[in-house]
Amino acid sequence: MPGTGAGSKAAGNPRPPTPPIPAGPTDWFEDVTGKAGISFVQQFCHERIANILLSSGAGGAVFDYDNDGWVDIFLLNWGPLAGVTDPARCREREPNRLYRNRGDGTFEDVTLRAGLAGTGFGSAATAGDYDNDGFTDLYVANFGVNQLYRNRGDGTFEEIAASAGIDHPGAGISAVWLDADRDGWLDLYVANYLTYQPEAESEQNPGAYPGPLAYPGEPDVFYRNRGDGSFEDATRAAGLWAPRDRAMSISAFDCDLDGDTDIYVSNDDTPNALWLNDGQGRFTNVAMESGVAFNSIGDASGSMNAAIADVDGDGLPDLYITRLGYGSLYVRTPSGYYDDRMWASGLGLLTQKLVGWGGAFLDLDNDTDADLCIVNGSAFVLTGSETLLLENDGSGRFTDAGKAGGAFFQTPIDGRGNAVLDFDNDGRLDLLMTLLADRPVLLHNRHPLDHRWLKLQLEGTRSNRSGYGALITLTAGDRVQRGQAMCPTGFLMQGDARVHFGLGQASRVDRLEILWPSGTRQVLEDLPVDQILKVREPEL
Amino acid sequence: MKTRWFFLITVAVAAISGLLITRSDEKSHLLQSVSLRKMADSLHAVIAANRSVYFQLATQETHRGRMPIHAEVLRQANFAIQTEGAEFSYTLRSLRPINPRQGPQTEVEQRGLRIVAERPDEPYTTEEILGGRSYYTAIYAERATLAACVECHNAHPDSPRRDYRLGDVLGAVVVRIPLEF
Repeated sequence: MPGTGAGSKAAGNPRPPTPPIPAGPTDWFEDVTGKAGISFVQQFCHERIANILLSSGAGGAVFDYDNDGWVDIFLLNWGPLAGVTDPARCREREPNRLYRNRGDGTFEDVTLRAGLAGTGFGSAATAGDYDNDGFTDLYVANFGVNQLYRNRGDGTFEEIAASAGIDHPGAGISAVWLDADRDGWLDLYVANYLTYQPEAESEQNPGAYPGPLAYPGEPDVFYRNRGDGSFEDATRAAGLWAPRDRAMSISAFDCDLDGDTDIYVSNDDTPNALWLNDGQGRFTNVAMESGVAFNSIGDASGSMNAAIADVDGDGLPDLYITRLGYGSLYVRTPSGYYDDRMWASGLGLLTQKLVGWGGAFLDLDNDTDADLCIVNGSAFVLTGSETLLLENDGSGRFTDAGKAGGAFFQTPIDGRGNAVLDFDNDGRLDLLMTLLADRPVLLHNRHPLDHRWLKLQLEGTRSNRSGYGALITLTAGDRVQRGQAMCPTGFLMQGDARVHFGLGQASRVDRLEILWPSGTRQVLEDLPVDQILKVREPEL
Repeated sequence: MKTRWFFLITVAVAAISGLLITRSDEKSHLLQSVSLRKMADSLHAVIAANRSVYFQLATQETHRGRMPIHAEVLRQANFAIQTEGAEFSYTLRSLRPINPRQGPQTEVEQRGLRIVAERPDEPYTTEEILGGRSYYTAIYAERATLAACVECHNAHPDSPRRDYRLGDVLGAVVVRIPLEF
């Protein structure tokens, strides 16, 4: 594809992209980006991080656009933006990229054929089958007008945001598909950052760019899917109107396991929101009383994203919040209150010197607990920071596994997005990261422990076709695990939506129970391990 | 002798300059000063938050036949300030907290609480980095200044210590000012 711009003048980048990072023979993870054929470089269009919008980065989504069983990779680009980028650095926008997974460890660039080159200053993407036709669609949040790419099912997409009524023109930084009212159609939550004013200056730090509080917040928008291919703005009707928020990312998950999808909004220098769903698609912000609005030192320092998993094996979903400032490990208690165990978990010390952006839980060794990977980077200078790979001892205490993780985790990068995927379907979870003004990094998991696993690919019938919102309880031997089928958005990125369970030494899954958003309960028993299991919701 | 002094001064100046240059290279955007307007805004934010939280809690707790608890007023006021977009924060901490969540949460808090417990007339101040963000942190001892403080801390079922006397250090207020953004 023309204009790949790897560090070229066309990309307007201040430096060449990070060269391939060779892995040692025993490294758990290997940088396979170049080997896999991913040549994308994010177009930065400036010599430095000169303003707050240039600090955030661009992401993408992992999804199987052609239903061949292999997840594909979509990456977003920036390009020139008046008042934000330097017009002398670049005049033309370089395209977004869709990389089709060939299934042999390599990808082919199918951007032009698919019609996904795009326009605008891209931030984040979210993938879901909004029209229940069996093909996963794509929504792109831009600083500027957002886009809805309907998957035609023939390998091509059409951009129909305007006719669908979701061509929102805000400072889009995140979006997520969820079926808020459980009517079987995916609704859409779009997060906006702030109202950028190029003339704003830092009052107290001459020469530095001003922080988020120098700009007015911008309300997020919630669109209800009418089921006819169009959407209506239902932000106020759903109780989600918050005009002063400065969102960075959205996570949609069932925090109280009551069968409906709740929403957590990570805000920049503004208290975070936990919107509790009443089951009918009406929400109430319970962040303050639940203990998830602030960090444990009582400030609302810039939150980037919420990674969600059960870190202590009690079956309740917990949250790890990455921040410019003290992060939070919010561990849910049976009362519904969250206990911030940032210090007690060891994460306070491990993350102390680093500004965290994309945080993602993954069971990296399939030993049944949720480990954590955090990509880091300064918000002010392109000097690079190391990525953290943190291993959970099963009780929610973490230790640094970067050395065993390999050479990549000793390499400074300007990390931003972070997504978990299994691109080679080998049952070991891989990682895809986006970097500021740089190439992405695709890390192949080569962990030596031969633990068992099960991956679920859900298909809703009465529920939304993507199966988002399904609650899963898995029993293998004496271990019971709870999972959720979520639209797995993190900071700027959506990961692999298939639900993955590490099983340790278990040789069979005794019982798998799925509570679909429609209320249908499905039970499967005595399942073989080490497989990707397609499960279709019973039509009754 | 003069040459030796000159050499030592030159080395010292070079070392200090080196430190400053290193720091400036690492974080050239750090806060250099606080404006009078910012200070007045911050003081006003605290006063306004205390007033509003006091009335809110007083109404709520009086209805239940109780007085608002000092720690709760402080906590709620800080949250109210954060909601308005404050560029500072404060929190109550103790080495022997009634609520375990009020125990030290960082290395600096751990160290500062010990120091102000020994020397309560002097605040402990330092810079710390949390999650990559630099803060100016000041820790002020909280003493039992009223009999009610002593009675409450000694009588509370969750209190890990029950022999407090007037003037004892119960904990500390930790004030943080981010040095960036």
